[in-house]
Amino acid sequence: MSAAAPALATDPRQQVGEFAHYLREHGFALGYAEVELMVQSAAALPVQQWERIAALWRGIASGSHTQWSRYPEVHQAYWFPNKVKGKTRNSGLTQRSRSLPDLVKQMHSDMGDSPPGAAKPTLGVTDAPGAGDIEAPDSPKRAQGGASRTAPQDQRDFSEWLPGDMDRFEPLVEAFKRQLRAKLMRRFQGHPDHGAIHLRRSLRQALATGGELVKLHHTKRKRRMPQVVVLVDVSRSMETHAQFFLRLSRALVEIMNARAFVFHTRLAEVTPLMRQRSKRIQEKVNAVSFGFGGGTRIAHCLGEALDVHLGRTLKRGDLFMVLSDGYDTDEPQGLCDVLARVQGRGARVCWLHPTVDAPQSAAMVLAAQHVTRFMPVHNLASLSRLPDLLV
Amino acid sequence: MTLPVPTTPEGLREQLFKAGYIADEDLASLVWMGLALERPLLLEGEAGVGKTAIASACARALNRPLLRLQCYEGLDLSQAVYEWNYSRQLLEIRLAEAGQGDRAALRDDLFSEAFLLERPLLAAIRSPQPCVLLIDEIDRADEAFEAFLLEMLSEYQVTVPEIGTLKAISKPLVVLTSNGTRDLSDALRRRCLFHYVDFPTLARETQIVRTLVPEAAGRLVEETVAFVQRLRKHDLEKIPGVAETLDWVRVLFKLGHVELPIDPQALVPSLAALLKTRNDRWQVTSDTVARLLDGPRMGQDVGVAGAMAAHQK
Repeated sequence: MSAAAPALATDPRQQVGEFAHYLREHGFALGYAEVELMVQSAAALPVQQWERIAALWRGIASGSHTQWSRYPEVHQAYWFPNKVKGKTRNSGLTQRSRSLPDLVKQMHSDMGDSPPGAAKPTLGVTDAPGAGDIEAPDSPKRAQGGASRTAPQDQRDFSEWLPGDMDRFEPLVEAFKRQLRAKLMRRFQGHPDHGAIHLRRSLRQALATGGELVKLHHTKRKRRMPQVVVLVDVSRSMETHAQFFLRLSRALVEIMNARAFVFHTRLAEVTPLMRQRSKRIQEKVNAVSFGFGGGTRIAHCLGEALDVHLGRTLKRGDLFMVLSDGYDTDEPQGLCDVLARVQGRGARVCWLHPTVDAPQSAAMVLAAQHVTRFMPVHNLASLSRLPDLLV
Repeated sequence: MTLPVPTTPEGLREQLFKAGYIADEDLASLVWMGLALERPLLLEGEAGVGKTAIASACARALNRPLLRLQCYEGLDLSQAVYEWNYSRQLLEIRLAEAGQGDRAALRDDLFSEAFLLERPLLAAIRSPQPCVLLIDEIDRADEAFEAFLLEMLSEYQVTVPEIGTLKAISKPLVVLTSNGTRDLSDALRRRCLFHYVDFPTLARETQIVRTLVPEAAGRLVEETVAFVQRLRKHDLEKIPGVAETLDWVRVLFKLGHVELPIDPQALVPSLAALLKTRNDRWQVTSDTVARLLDGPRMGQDVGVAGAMAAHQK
């Protein structure tokens, strides 16, 4: 006990709070209730079984398969940094050693006598260093002398990204999804307890209860969420960006139930491939687009998507998102015509381009009048402006 | 009579084993924590990996009744929580009109618990003894129903507007399962302890199949499991789960095999128990089966015996 005294100098709750903060930094969504639960579970676990704490905390901290898979690595890196291979730690600061077994022991001695649900309220968890990210109003601004808290990755171009960085798309696409509003349709559908009374159906139902209107049937106008269609240009001119645009389209498919297509000189739908949680997704998409010519026939491919694949499913308020640099080898007027048809159906045409400025090819200049919005998508900061497409 | 909750995760694991469910350490620890801290469990994973089976195993292991709610699109409160017994209410009104009932008492009692039909969620919290509540395939239910569950899962209570709030008489062990077909809300996830039920390891799956299909020959079980484990590495649309392995072993046993036949053509018809989509059937040809059969055929060949011994320790 005396040997571990320096590590136990701080409150165990604070140590768990620090760990929770570390987890939050790695994308885990933990609130005060979860931290409290972690404390309770540590106290409830028999001392000799402290090694099982990782399994218990994994269940508390994780909320998805991705987080569940990542947790062991994060847990190991925090509590047993010396066992993590291939990492270099350079720091001039001395850091208190962490000891998970000692922490569990202390939790147990502090709280183990009380029943699992009767733990004390968590106070002081946010006092942990670094727990408060929000600056106090009277505190000096942190961005001083050219220093900034903006993550450099936000401004880094997608072509400089590593595959591991791409997990950051999901929160941005989720924010985009939250901005989508359902469209009110003309048709009606039954609703259990809201809306106008459907008199005929209610009277028919009343026959079963001797004519007494015991249960009323209601109807409401149908609502429909806008459909999102993503078309990714995988031509040679887009080679450096295609991988990232495909990853973005995968996030759109997973989160917004979008339909995804890739095109080059021909078009192929890749929605089913995007839905599969296979590590070989990139290989499959490559296989689909293999053999495509070097040029780009944007007008032809968009026309095929509209006529063959989408048919009459593209409706008012839907989003028709094209991810391309706009270099087309078809007749310039062709792109203008096909986008006019898309717009004619009431869909919004959004052109996402990897360049800072909107594409200036001959086809794009003609077709620009039918594009609802151009948006540069070259780094993470630009992706955060996706909701502007709906304005 | 309900059995007490074991004091350690290991104790619970043993009880689950006696109930016919071979849980790994992490899952047993999580279920134990769910029982100790009275928290719902959210089990996610591919179809056929044993998510639903854990709930029924818990019910058997703890000698608790199992209440099951199968979720589907359009599931509403009248099917999941409660419904007023309209026919009985009407009958009471008619009796009162005919002068055979107390009208004043009826006015007070017409919307009381006596006229309430309990559905699984309400029945679970009003049960005098703790039970196991299985909310199966929550991802199929609507978001509105998911939102309703929040009150039930955090406070173990249900609000009926005509009566008020009905609090739990006993707190059930709630097990929610999801196949991950859609994202559940963060609010629901936060209220639950999460576990991803993955495909079992070779040793564990062999043990599961041996336990649940004891009539099949040991060699057949080991070879079959080794084959399925290799098949899972193929890029299939529907990866076969433990349930499919069990079905396949039963089929092969019924066909009179004591080991996997060497001829792939003899195996192909029985693969209907493993492969459940047209694309997968098309993809796994007799050549693929021959290649899979060429690998280590016996569990011992790939170190199952040692792994199983370690697992049993």
